[in-house]
Amino acid sequence: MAKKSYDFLFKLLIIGDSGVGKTSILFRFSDDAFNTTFISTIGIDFKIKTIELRGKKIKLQIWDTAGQERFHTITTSYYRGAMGILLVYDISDMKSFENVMKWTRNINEHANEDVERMILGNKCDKESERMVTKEMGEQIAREHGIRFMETSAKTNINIEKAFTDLASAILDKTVGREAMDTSTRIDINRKTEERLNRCC
Amino acid sequence: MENTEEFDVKPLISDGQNKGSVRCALCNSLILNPGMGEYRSEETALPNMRKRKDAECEEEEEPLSDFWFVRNVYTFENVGISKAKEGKKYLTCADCEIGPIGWCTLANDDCYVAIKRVKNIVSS
Repeated sequence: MAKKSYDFLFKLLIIGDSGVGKTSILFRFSDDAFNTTFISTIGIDFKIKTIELRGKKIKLQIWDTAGQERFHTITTSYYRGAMGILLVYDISDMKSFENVMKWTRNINEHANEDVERMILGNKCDKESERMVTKEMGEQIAREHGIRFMETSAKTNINIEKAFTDLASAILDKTVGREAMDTSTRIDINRKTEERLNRCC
Repeated sequence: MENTEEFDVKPLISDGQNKGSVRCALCNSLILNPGMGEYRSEETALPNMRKRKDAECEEEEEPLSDFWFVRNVYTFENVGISKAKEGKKYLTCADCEIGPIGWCTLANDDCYVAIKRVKNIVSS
């Protein structure tokens, strides 16, 4: 087998209401010349992005619901194996913020209970249209014990940081668990590895 | 990017593998590290990267013959995988989403990057 080119593989999901900018979080810039390509017609399934954290090479496999949320079809299969979730709302859309609660329940119902979560108040470049204060975002995050930050995919504020902070939290958990497993029982360690290697 | 002239792939290959890193021709995003793809010569047509404005050109394909074969999607540094269409998935730049820059099998294992559709950085 070819040499393994990474240390960890983390599956991440981006969820939230339609129109909050989930897809643009994964998109570096747009250019009208390219918005009618073959690819945008069939749609993107997932992306692989590589980051380095504390000397470890980490592959992020990132899924966005790509409109599924409109039909309320986000189910267990989408959440399967997810280790991190970015829950996105739009600071200029109160409804999308109110629905963070609904999404949180959905996550609790379907996702692995130890999944790392982070709430993102996106479109923070639209200050003049702001409906949701930063304090409101911080408060809901605190109530649920979830990390929070405001982002702007458009002006590239905190996007990288959101991914690295989430990955870092997963890494802490994973490394912690591995260290514990090694010192206790080897068969548990093997289970952890299987979990890490599981992919779509 | 889409010129049809013959181009020489030999300087890009070392030990049957990609000598330099592979980057997006549009936004320079790092796609593949040196030595992670194997050179494969085979005829495959891929849909055009740009669609013309008029609808009748939409299904145009370009025949391609030089590819980097990559054993699974996790070997890439950064890449996007499209949804399946007619038994294939297509590869895109992870950042600007230009594509298809190649294709892969439904199980995300065998991937082929069209050498002509990416920037191959070989320092002399």
